[in-house]
Amino acid sequence: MRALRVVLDVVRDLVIGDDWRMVAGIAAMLLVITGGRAAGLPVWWLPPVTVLVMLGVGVCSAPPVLRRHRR
Amino acid sequence: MTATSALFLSVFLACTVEAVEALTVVLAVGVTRGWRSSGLGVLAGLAALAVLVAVLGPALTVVPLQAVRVVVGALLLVFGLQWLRKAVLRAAGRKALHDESALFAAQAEAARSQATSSSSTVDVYAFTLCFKAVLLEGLEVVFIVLTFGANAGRIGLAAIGASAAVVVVALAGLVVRGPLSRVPENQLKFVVGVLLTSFGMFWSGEGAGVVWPGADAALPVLVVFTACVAVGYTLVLGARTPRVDAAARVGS
Repeated sequence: MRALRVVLDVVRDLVIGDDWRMVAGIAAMLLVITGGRAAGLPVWWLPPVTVLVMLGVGVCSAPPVLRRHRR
Repeated sequence: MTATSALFLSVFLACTVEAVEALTVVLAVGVTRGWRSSGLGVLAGLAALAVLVAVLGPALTVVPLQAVRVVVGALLLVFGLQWLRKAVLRAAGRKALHDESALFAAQAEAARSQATSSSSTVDVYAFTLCFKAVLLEGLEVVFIVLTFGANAGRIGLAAIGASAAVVVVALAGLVVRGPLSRVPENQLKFVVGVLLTSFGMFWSGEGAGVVWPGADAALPVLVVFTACVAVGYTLVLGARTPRVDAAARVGS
């Protein structure tokens, strides 16, 4: 039981990492692609748009910090 | 051109493309996460591939490659986006840059103090990425050999063409490994994030049914697109991040 929990923790850390929204966004993308294909729509643009949006969400929601400026 | 040389050249070129894709992932992960776990991932991927080929043989063509592409591609996309997000935040000054010299010194010290236990630790992340890349691309190489070879009735020749491609690409990888290791860590992680994200987009999309314009030629376009997006976010975030003089921080 303990070993299973360790394995699940490793898998969770590996797949979900520190931002679950990435996984959710990619899962949603795959669902929309599947639906779009079934409806006969062109869906090749969806993965690039997903990356554009998900990366934007990931970096813009990070807390602002002061950065060092070298002279 | 004879039928023999046409078959050899076709298989060689097709397998070169697949091998380069796997090599790109392995090199990127190896340089940034370490060669030991990456090498183990490659070996495990090759072993799994060998077992699959030995057990299934020509029946391998019934393996649902689309499903494999979706799973591997989606995981690569997750890893790539996570990696790229951190790289953008570091480059924009919103996350601390790794002090590479201090990090190296700390790791060297830790390695010295744990010389006996370190040999048993494996970087699961590096291992998994390399394992998946080698297994997926290896499966595609096997499919190429089986389909081209079976159609021409010369599986042996197709296998020789594929082996030659893999050997040539592997040798090229050994040559570029050294120069790659000298690239600064943070820049390299940025590039790795771009590559993993692009490959993840391509494979997961293809597996889910996307028909890419230009087929395989879409991959380099996706790499350029992802790089532009990441650089764009870095510039925007960097401009918004307030600066503070390092000397003032040290003195405060």
